[in-house]
Amino acid sequence: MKKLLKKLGILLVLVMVISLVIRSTIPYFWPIEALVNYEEVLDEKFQGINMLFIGTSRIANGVKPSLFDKHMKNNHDRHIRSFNLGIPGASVGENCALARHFINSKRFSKLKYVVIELTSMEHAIGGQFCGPKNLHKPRTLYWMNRQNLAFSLDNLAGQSNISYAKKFRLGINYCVAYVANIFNAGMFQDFFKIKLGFIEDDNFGKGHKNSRGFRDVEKNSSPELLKKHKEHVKTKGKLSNLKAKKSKNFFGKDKKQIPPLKNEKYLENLKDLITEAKEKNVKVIFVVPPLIEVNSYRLLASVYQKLPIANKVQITNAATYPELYKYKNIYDGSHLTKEGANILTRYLAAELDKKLVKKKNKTSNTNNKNKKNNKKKKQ
Amino acid sequence: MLFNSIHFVFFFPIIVILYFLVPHRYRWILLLIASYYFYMCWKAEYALLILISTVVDYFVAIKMSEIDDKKKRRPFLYISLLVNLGFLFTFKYLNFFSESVNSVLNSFNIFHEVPLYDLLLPVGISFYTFQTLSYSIDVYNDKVKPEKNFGIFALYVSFFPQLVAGPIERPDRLLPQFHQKFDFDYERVVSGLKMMAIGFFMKLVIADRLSQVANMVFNNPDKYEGFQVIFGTWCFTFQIFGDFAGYSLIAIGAAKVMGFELMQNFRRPYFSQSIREFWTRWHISLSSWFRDYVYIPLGGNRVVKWRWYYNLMITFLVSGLWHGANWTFVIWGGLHGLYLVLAIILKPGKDKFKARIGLKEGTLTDRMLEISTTFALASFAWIFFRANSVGDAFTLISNMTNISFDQLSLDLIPRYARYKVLLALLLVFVMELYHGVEEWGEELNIKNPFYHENTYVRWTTYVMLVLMTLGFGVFTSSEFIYFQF
Repeated sequence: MKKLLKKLGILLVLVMVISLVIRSTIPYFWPIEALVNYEEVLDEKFQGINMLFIGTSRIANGVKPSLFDKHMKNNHDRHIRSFNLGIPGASVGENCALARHFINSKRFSKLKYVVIELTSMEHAIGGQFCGPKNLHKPRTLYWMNRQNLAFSLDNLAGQSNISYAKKFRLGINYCVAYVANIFNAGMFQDFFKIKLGFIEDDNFGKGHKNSRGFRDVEKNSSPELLKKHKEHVKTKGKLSNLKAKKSKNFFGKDKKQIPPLKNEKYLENLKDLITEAKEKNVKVIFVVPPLIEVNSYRLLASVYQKLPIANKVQITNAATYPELYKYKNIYDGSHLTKEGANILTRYLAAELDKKLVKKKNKTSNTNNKNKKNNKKKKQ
Repeated sequence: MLFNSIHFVFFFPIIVILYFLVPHRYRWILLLIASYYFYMCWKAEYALLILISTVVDYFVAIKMSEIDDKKKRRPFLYISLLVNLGFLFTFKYLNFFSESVNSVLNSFNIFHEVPLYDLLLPVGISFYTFQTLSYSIDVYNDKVKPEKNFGIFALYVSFFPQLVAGPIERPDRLLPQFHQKFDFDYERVVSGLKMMAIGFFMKLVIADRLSQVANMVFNNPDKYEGFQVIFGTWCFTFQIFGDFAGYSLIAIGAAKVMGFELMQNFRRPYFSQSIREFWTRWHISLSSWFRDYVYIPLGGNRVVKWRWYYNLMITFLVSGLWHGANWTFVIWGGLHGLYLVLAIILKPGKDKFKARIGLKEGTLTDRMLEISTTFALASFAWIFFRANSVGDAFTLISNMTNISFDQLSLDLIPRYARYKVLLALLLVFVMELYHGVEEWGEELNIKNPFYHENTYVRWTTYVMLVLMTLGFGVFTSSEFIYFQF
């Protein structure tokens, strides 16, 4: 038995070493097709990007970079060049890993801000994205390095509202994804597929290059979304009304409504990301968009409340942003229509402006210049 | 539980380690618990069906052994047949039978609907039913003595490596092995692990990759023509081989690690030189089961010619039906029966023709011709096996005749699917190269790299196999095709 274990060990080490060597020689490729389609355009046209939006389809369908930049320039005198990297169904781990990739890779030398949608842990650990069905897909695989494994396991451990059995199961899944990542499981095929350009033409991202990642949900509705849209119409916005009520309860002025924070680790990990980014001169801002999952209002309120003021914005409270919960601005109870996206983008620009690095006293300089000019004229 | 699941990655090593740690007299208990756990991971309540079959066959066999007169034994055999085939019929064929009756009645304008039931097909029911039936029949025929230990008999029915998709074992081979003590034997364990590794490669890399191309064609029969249909069929031909032979290798290897010898289920079937030979190389455990329990009892070939043909046709039609409750499987079985009958009828003519053109039997050209013909015939039959309906199969066959060389262009394949086609070609080439070495290695003086005496060659092969399985494998826990049977 010892001899066998020894030889199996040698084989394992050999395979691991070769896998790591292969991995280090293979140029980085984007983990999912949704992002691959953006790669080309980002490198070609958007080298000057200084702000990235990362999140779920709520971000992809809700934030229009061109409008955002225009708004920032006209109303706040800021030169922002943004890109929307929202991906349908993205999890917290995926979002943070993507943010880390951009912050550390220095792919965009001018990158100053990363705006990340704050999604609830429920969403992050759900079987849909990290469960066995999706386990070995690049979606949950390539970002699962040691740091992200620790992040995911920490978050899982701190989650109080799921059973120990589920925690154990999901924990195993994360660990397996980590090991699979070390051994490049399924990677060669993905590498060939992506590097040789064999990706689906009509996939997410393609066709949205010109809109810089913004995706008009009314034009790109999947059958599933269309079904939800019909439900939204049929029930006259029952789901969004419920969400509006929840948003007022948990993100309203009455802080007594906010439940105590149960998942300290989750908060710590988000704070760590803020610190890491700061070291690279990038500011991370977490945003809570409207129409998040029904249960997420309660879960996120406690996390949101404890995040540093400078690194968070919420555009979710229906009392403050009633237009975003209006029936006509909502497509399916979870996503905004094009008009809704315009409204959200404007609100977001106004709120983010307060959080961005303070402008150099440009106005006072111009005032001084004006005064000098006036003096000259008088003379 | 699937072999290609994370579950199994943990389950198997734990069971093997415990197996060698536990004293021999308790090992069957460990294996029995492991086997039921293995099955219950899929659907716990369906383990009850296995248990009922086991209890019935255990007592029936004991009763039969107590009676000397074969005629008096017969009712007990009927009980076994009734219970086992009853379960099989209810869960697998009842709805098929009802649908067929309904369509016949409708065609005579009788609109009486035989009810359909929402029944889930228990995984592996055809396999364990045949295994347990062979026990009852063999005890009835005095070929084996009944197993006195109920636990060991239950293990014979439910032994996890071969429970859900075979190989279908015989009592005289497998039952005695449960009484034998197997110590840890390095060479045997390594050999078993090698088999498992090759099996995983065949399933994860070859079969699951090819399935992506085959599915494209078979799920859109109207969309593809000529060479595209031929290529899709060709992909399914290798997919089903990779899938099932891969599963069998994992099963045989897993059992071997613990010391059990299961029967070989595949022997490079696509190197067969006739359909007859094909059936001695493809799903050997099933074809030998049908030979022993259906074909020979019908009279085999020791009868008048027309009866021989009848026996062949019946055996293959039943074999087709065993594979699935659909007319596509029945036609597939019928086609193979027909191939065999035609081969017998046409043999004198074929021999004469060969002699006339000077083609000597056994020469390389002759072998290649026979292999190609057999491969083409088997592939053609797979169209019915894989098609979603008989109508789809005929659409595909009709589209297949519209051949044009433009169809060979990769441009016709959606861009995102092209890499799958290219990888499929590459991987099948690798697999068949390996099987070529296995088949003709001795003749050509080429050694199997997995068993090469040179350590470097051997280890390079191991590392390459593991790296390729990991890097090119499809890891979405797709089921094995034969689980549905």
